[in-house]
Amino acid sequence: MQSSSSRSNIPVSRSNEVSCSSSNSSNSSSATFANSREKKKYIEEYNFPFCDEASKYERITKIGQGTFGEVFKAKDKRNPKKYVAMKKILMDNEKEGFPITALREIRILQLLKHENVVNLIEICRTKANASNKYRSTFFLIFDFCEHDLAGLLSNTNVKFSLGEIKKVMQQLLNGLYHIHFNKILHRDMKAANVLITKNGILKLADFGLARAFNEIKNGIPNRYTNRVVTLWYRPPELLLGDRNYGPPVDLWGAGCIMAEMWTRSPIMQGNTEQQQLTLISQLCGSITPEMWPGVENLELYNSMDLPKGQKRKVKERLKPYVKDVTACDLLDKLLILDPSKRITADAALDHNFFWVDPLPSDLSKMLAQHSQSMFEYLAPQRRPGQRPHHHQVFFNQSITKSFIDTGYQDRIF
Amino acid sequence: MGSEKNGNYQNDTKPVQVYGKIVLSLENSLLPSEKLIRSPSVADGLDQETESNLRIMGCELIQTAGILLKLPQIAMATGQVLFQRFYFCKSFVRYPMDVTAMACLYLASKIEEGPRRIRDVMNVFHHIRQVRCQKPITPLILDQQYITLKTQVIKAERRILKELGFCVHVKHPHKLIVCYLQVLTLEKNRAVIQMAWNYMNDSLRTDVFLRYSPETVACACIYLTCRKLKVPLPKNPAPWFTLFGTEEKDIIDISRRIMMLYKLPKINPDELENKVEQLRKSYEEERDKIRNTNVIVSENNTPNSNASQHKSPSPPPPKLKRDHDSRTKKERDSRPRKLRDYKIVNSDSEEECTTRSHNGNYWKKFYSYA
Repeated sequence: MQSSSSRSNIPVSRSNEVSCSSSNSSNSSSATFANSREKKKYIEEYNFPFCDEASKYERITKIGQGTFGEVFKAKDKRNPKKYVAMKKILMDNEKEGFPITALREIRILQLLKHENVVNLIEICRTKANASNKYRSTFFLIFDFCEHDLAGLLSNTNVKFSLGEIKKVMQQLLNGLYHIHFNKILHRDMKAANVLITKNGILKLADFGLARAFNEIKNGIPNRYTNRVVTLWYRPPELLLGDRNYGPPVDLWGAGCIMAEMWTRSPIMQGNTEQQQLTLISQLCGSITPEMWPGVENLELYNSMDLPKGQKRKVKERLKPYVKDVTACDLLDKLLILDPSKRITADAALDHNFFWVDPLPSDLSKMLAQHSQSMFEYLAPQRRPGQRPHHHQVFFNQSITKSFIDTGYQDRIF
Repeated sequence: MGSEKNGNYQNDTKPVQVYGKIVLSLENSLLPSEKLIRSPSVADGLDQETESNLRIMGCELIQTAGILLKLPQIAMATGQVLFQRFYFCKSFVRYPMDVTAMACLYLASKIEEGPRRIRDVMNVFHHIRQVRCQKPITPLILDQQYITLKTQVIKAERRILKELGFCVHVKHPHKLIVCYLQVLTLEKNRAVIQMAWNYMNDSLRTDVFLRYSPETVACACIYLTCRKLKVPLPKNPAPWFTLFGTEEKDIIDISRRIMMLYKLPKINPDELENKVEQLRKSYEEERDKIRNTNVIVSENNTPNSNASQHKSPSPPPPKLKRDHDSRTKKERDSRPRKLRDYKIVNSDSEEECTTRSHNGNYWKKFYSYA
């Protein structure tokens, strides 16, 4: 009875939905027209005092594209010297309203004001009008940074001295220390998400996957998603399905980025989770309960095919690229399989690498030679043949395929 | 010359440079008293008592729904703060309380890391409404009306974000209470902590967070608790609250405002809805009238001119409008008393409840508006 009566209500509700005043039925259709027209006008002219319009910025060029949406370089119309990056908040998943990831990103960026974290200036919106179905788009407005690390590394004309590499890593770890100290995980460490201004200041960017984390309370483990971090930078614990992870996930990424400073391309370019685990085992040795107590309890430990009898050869394989002994030692400590033994950002900053000659040196002089912005998105596609042989082939995996395959070079901010 | 121009240019532009900041605290929403008195709803003709009742009702809805959704208390607190802030930007007459309350709670659940689905939020509000009207509990039916409502909630969420400039992350003063009680060496007294928190949670229904800093509110909650439980607080060398930079008069004012909550007669939701609906009707009619006159003056042979002529002959509409307005005002004044009488005579009239929620005028009309 109940359901049938309400079902019969459907047509009624449809007709009422359009009409605004049911009291005067003869007037209702014209009133609707009036209301909808006035509503349009009202919406189009309405000004939100605390949320500026995106048209205050003039878009210059697109500098990023990916699953998250688009990033534009733009300038402030009222202050043409001020350049910004506009990141569109993708609202594809309208089913659940404003994306929780964007809410997290906004809060996290506000919380994390730091020299080595990208600065969020404000949030803007487009005006609602008929063309966007009265749904405005939101933009995060950031200070503009001239380069990203992936773009710099893919340009063979850019050469980093050891002191400059140290400066990059020191700033990167400093940023990580700050965000971990504030109980935030970045969860998408990769070279393309490391921005560098023309003055040589490094900024961690793209907190679209970031979230706050808790120390384990009352013995109840956290249950975070393990489907984070770009595959090539994803640590073994995530690949094995860990859902109770913490800051070490970002330090694995930092290790991959550090190695990339010399190899100039991502060191482990797997196409699948399985292949990534194989690559990791080949570099860091077999994943066994002896090396990593507790690994056998991870969800995917038994379902993944883990190579046996592999020796750890991090130092050995990186030596041809990384001549510096302290650098090799730090890399060795960052790329430790067991997350509980992996070096923390704080300890890494105290590592000898940063405290023996040559000391970290300023990047601005080197960057001053390059007047053009270098972003991974704008860089020519990294393909074999375009670059010297030793740069691409760190491992003999089919690099061509992985590059052309689904874009892992998508994210910039 | 060139450099001079440049210099001028900079001088001209620099001071203008303002960016919308995002502030994560309660303090950025302290409002001057004239704003608190003349809220958008009051400007739309709603009396203050009705407005504060609507605020209380909305906050209670958020609290109850949050409990049913098994959200942590902090999500309900955030939701209520958003709700209170929003209605100092917008009026109850133009933006329906229920939809905003749903959107606030939904948004707060995401902000406080316990996301709930819109559908669950809607279900819970539907349930509360049925309980209130003492109707048999039936599930929410997924019809066109449901879809419309869902869209309205999503839109309301965006409006809240835009209106509040994304300053939606609230630092709550619950922690402050604990810190202060530690300073006062009362942190072991669980009864004191609990009651102070209770007062804090109840205070969200008032506008004290828009009037006073969280520190002052925290002191007032401690003050009330210790009076109630007869726990002495230090007076020498100086009264305890001076330690936390607050003044006695503010504490007493907040305490009064909180205590007032418990003295209020039970709110009659139907009566409130009636009042808002009437105002909304007159507001819309007024708007239609303006539109009609415009249409008749500007375009004579449009398809709607027929329909509009039906209602308002062209020359006198401005007068008519005023007449109409005054009439609704009279109605507005007399209506509550009538209703109240009616209620006393027919206190348990189910009919009234069912008919109203059945044709769902109140809901539907608002949804089609916003």
